[in-house]
Amino acid sequence: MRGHLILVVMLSSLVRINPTPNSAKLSQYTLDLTTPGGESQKGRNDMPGGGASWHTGQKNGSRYQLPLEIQILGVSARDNGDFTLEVLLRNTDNVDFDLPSSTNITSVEKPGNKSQRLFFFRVRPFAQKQGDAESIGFAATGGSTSVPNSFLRLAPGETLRVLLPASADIVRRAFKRPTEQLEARVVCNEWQLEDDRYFIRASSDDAASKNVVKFVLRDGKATALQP
Amino acid sequence: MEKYELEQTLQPDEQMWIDVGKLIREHVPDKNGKTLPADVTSGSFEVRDLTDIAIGSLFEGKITYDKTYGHVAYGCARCCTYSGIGMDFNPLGIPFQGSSQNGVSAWESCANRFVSVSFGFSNGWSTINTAIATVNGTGLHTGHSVGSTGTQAFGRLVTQRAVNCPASDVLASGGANVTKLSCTSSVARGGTATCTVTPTGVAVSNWKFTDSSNNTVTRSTNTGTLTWSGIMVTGGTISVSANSIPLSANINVTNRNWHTNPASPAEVANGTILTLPVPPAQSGSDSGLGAGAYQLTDTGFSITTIGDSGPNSGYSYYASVLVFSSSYFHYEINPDLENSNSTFSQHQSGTNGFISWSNLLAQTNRHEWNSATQSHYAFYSNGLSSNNPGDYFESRVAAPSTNLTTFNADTRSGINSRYNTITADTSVEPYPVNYSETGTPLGNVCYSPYTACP
Repeated sequence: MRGHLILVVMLSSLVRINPTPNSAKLSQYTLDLTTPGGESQKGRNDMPGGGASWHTGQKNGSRYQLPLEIQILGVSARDNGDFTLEVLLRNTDNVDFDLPSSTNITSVEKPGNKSQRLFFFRVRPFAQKQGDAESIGFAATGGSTSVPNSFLRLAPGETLRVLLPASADIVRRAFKRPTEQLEARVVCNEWQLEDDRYFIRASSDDAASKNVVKFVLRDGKATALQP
Repeated sequence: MEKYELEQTLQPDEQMWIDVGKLIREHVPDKNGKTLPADVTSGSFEVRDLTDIAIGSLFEGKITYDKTYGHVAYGCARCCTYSGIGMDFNPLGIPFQGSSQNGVSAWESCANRFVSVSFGFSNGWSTINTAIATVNGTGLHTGHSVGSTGTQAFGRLVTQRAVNCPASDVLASGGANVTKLSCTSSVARGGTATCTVTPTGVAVSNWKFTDSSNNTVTRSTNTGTLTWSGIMVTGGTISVSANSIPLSANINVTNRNWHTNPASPAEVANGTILTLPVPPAQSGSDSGLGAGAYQLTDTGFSITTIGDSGPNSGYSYYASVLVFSSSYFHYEINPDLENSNSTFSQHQSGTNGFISWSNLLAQTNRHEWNSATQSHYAFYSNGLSSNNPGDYFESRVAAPSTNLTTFNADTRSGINSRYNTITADTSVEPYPVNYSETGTPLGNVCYSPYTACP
């Protein structure tokens, strides 16, 4: 019975995480988030509650830093004209980092699940005000200690390749002037949810890639320049 | 049929002579570069007044002086005549407070087709009801009020075949409809706006909404109905075709008042936020005399997509205000400081470089909450004002086809980002409790065991 259970778990992992031997020097695994999960996996339609508090003597409240270094390795156009960004995450901490890695958010958000965490990858153009730019690429993953294999453990210094989608149409619409060059970073952040209510207990600061991906318009069509 | 065309400007009484034989022999090109074939022996010709096609002022004659290559048969030219005279557009659609051009066309016997004869009606235009529409001498109509009126144009055209091409008075008449598109000019987000085309009986089509980012909504049901209404969440332009005339009107969408107001400062008992030491004791830069705290907690939200087939159908927005389960600003003042008879208070003398008790109490309150410029409460309030989660949340609108999962998460992050900024602003330290609101030092605080201030 135990043997069957192990076999199922391993198959599930293979679907989600594809070994990429060619880039083993950079990353042992690839987390491919370019294929959207079905409606049944996208999680709740509403957003969790959230808030802020401060009191004398308190520094950062419920905010924390993600121990991740993010680097955009490349960008490629897909057959349908959309883009795939290849991103490298590296654990910069000296302890393990458990990255929420399940694309089945619905299973993660089930009531009663413990230590739910939602992790967001955004491809975001520069904006004057942080948080106001619309994402031109987006993917979400989740993890819960109640859902087996919903985290991917990154040892200190370990890296992970992630493939992110960016919609060509949304990229095109993000241009304010046809002659400009649109620069975007990959921005990650995480929410930690409370166990007993749909509420953000703590949220990370945004962690942005140190390099950018650039897009230009050619004949009205968004074209990516290599970072 | 091949044509060989020559043009020449003639002054009054001037003649144009054409030696056809010479044109053939010398291969003279016409205005289009064509030449007459060398072996041509017969053909017909037309004479046309290009500047006055309605009547013309030409008289044609022929003379043959060399019959080597051909001859001209005797005969008189016959006039090109016009029949079937009518308006180009009948009825003419005119936008309210806009203009539309009409003209006159007629069947021309020589060309065997309808041609514009508006030139012959210059300054002959008029409308029946000038309160509805007026027209200038060229047929340009202007709509002044919604309704229908007759429009007519008097002119002179050659309508009879005769040697002298006599011109006759002719009348072209038709109708003109002044149409108007009226829309609710301004509506709060989530309210209903209605657009109506008047007058009744107008044929409408191509209802469309266009927002400031050029996102469009094209009406797909009841497309010929004179009204289009629905919930509006973003402003833009409504356009419609009425009797083939394009009409447009703007709808402005205003923000709902969802501003998140700061909580009023409220004093709480020592130990509610943290426990201030009694008697007061300094800890690092913390005076131990007061404390402040704020909290702002929302309950989450969900998005609504409009499905009413109206101008903003397919847009998504937040229909309900962001609800806060907790919103407060609390402060504590050390009980010993508030008690003028306490040993601590009795030692704040206001002399020998020490602050007075009354000043210390006032400035501690000032530091926590009682200042519009130098207090944690002021920093909290100002931070909330310029990073208002309610205002931001209210204005979030997703165009059709937006990925709502992304949009919702972006909204959540946008709110969180504002919370973070408010927290950062609030945590900035105002001038210390022994300083004035303007930053003037008022003396040291004397702490237990009060050896420096016996």
